[in-house]
Amino acid sequence: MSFNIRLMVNNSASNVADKDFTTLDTLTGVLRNETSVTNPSIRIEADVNDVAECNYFYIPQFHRYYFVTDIRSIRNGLVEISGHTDVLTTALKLGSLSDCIGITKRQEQDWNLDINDGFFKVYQNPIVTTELFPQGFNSFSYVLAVAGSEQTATT
Amino acid sequence: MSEKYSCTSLSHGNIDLYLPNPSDMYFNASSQSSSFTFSDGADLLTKYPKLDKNTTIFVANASSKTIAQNLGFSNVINCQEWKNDRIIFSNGNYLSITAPYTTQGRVDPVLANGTVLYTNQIQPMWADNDRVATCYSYYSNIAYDSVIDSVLGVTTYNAIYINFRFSDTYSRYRDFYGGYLSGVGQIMPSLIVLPVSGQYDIRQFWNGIDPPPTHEDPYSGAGDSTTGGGDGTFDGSSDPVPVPNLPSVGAQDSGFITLFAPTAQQMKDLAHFMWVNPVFDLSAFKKLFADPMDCILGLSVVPVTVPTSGAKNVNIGNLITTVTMNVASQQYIEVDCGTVTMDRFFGSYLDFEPYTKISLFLPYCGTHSLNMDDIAGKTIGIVYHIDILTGSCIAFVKCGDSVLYEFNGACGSNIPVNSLNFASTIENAIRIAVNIGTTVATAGASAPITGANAATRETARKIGTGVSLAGSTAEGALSMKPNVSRSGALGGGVGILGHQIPYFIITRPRLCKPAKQDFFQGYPSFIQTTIGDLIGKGFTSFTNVIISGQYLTDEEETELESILESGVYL
Repeated sequence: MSFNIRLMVNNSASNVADKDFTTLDTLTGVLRNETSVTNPSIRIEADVNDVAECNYFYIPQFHRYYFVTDIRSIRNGLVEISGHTDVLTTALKLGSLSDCIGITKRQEQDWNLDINDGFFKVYQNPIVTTELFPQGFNSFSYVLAVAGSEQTATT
Repeated sequence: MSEKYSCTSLSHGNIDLYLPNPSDMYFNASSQSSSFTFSDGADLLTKYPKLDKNTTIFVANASSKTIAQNLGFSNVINCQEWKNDRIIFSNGNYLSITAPYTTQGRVDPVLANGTVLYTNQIQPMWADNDRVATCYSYYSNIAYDSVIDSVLGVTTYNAIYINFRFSDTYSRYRDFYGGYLSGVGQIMPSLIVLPVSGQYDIRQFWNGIDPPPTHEDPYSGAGDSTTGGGDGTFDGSSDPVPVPNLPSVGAQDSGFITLFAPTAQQMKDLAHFMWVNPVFDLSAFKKLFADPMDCILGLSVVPVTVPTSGAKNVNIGNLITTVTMNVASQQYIEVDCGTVTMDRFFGSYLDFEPYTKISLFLPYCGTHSLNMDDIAGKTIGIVYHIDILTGSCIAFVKCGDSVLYEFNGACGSNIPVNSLNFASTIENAIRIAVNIGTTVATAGASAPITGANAATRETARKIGTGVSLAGSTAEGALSMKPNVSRSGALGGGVGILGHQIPYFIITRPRLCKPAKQDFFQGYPSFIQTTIGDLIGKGFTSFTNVIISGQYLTDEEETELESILESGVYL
């Protein structure tokens, strides 16, 4: 069975789903040794200098993208590249991650700021302001209370 | 489905008895189908999970014991090893355990009065390699073979059954029901008691057994928890609570009191009439009143323009003076201080308690803490209702459509017209000084002064001990409760010296926000969504996510869930 491995340089953070990577080389050969699909170790005929900057690879037959976890020079012209599945990018590009549903905890654009956010910190000195009402008490009057009815008064 | 009796044996510890509903359990030996199932399809081991290889097995003889042990049962008792015993329960009933036969035992349920409900013959397991049971219930043995097989997980043709009671006719066509007894100490940790259908009911034996005292729940009186809730109406409608109307009946309507709104000159004219005018016949006046000032119930300054209804002569009791004054047309006056719209500052949870705090200074009522949850984003209005006779006032704080707060105070500043009033006024003035020192006024008002002379002496004492004065009057704040004297003198409010316009004091947190926090951490979100809808929207973390159809291993799916929950850039 023909076996392909595309060696790449990943320029994105590991938690970026749609990674920005550039292809260094695409190798075609035969898988001679047993290897794990999720944590493969692939020996390739190459000079270690040519693959030293590779930090990402893709194996179509395994349907997975991989982070390079180790590059070992076995002997002159033979290099062993080990990797671990990049489950995020694999699920996005080869699976159906886009169709999955979930409940967001935090989001960069679709947020609700009325939810308590324990991430925030506040300075110790608060902002103290005052705000006046438009009106208040602005005139004064004497009030004299006397016993008796004014209705009975005559001069 | 099954009826469980939990009780404590006096001699053998905790015992659980399960009595299945007869209709849930059937056993038809006629077909010899080796089936022993319940109507819901569950087998005996599923139904009674305590029946396992640790079940104590009662066997007939030494060879049977060896076979049972080889099958995996760890607790096997030879019939000859059976010992006479009683398992006595708290209601006095007991299980009588005897071994009257060579290869059989009996576990008889006996009531406390000695009545044997029935002789429950225990047929020990019997090993018979040719599958021909020599005991009574041949066909039953076959069925129990399958039970034991299911327990052991092996196939055996040994005619084994644990215990079984059958009718006198050995009918093949019979439905049985019974119970599963477990935990009988060292004798029979697990025991199946199968009384014959329709003939015996072991429930009468178990009824009345008290719950184990050692397991008594101290909170049992609170009742067991149940499911509940979910019946909310989510009706968020609210009835508006407007500011009430002014009272329609006042003191003036009684005819005993007249309120005037005099000018300063009119007050001088009245004083001149009373104390200088030779026409004023004091001796004649004293026929009705001990003191002319008794007729003057109060003179105060109120912080409103008093509406009047024309000038009238002032009467002092029954004495008609020549002094005219404007008569107050109403005792209660409304003052509208307007509204303030409290826009949200942050537009987030920080606008609410406990992060943002708010206080409201109300002239004559003091400063009060409000709940910012009631204020944020609403239009706040303040309306005072003032009683110009007593100087009392109440401030209504309207949040949106409804009045949510009401604070009372005193806005009348009394002017002393005799020595008693003067004493009260001095005391109030001292309180002002103390309150200014305490900065924040408190709600309520000081206690009314009920005895002018006593108040005078108390005031003099306080002046001599300033420290204790401050301590005892600090709660008085900026507000004064109206001081209505029974002798006709009025105490005074002192809020007239303070600010005359209400205002909010708002304390907001000063936010410490890193640049691009939205990029690094996002903001709170609690929305059910499809992941595809978030592609291109930057940072996202999930509380729950369902991963399926990714062609990933189980371990990889778990890892993916963990990554999505910790945060990714989609």
